[in-house]
Amino acid sequence: MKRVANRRYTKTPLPNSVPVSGADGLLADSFITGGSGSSGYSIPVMASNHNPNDSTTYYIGGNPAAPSTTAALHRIYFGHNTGRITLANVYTQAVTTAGSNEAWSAYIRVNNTTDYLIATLSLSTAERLFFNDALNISLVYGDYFQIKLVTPAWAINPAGVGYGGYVFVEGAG
Amino acid sequence: MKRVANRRHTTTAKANSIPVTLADGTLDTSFFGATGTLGYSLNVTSLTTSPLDSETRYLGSLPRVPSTTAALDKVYIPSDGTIEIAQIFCSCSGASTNEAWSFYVRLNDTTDYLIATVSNASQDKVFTNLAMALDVVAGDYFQIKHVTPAWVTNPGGVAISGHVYITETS
Repeated sequence: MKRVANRRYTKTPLPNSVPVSGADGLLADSFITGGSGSSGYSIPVMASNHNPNDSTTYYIGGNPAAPSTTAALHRIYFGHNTGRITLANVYTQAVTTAGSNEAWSAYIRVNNTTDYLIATLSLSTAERLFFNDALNISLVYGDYFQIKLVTPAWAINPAGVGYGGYVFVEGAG
Repeated sequence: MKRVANRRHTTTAKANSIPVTLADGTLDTSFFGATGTLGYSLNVTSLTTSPLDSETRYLGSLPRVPSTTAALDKVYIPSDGTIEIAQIFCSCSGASTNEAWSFYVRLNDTTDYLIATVSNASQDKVFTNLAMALDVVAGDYFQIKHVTPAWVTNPGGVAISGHVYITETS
């Protein structure tokens, strides 16, 4: 990601250049959402294959490990002073058995305390995409989060389920 | 995600703002995407594998060994934009010979876009393309596809990771 702070300005203006600064020559604060000079960034989440059990709560984070039933194990720490998670995209893919269509929920769990629902899916497809672009979860430095998954009592359990995805953070400053 | 271009200019410059403008008060728009947005990256990864000769494999954001089956490990794109950059790093515990190895961005399991072809005998192989210019829309998905050569000596213990960089257009 190109950061404002790292670029040098030696070129002549392009035809489509736009005025962005105030009288002080500084980049208008409104062009960025945080002090990092970025409009946002994604943080990957993942977990390796497992066979989820019925009515069980699992947690994943940024480690390439199987989901754990132990909370606060795979943490992702927030590295800015402030910011907001605005979007989550958790993709699951079952390579062995797709599973039946009972309701399966995914959450963002902050500081092992508070859950924010990403989505509940009732699908019998091998692929399931837990997606929510209307999140507004404030974070401060030192907070951490995990992805929490609550499985149903499946008639047919999915098997060989892997996880990959990301959350999107805005307003990091 | 919010577009930079849609933001209102109601605040004063922050104390940690930096001078970014040209002498005439304009900004080089190469900073941003086509509509004046900063971008973001989406990561890809895989578990360690020992690739075979002359095969095609696919990986996405799931920590799995790359699959010979397409469209398994997808990375979904959340908003309209342009894939500007793709960067893949292969770390090989055992170096290979220098036959040509190619990596692609495969969009919607339909079309391949070459990232790079690398022919070296190093343990580290970097596949980078800074000019992908690949338009995408919300709901598209991609994978990283790679096509191995017929190596004289195959690499061993290959871990693959990387990212694509996307600027938003809506």
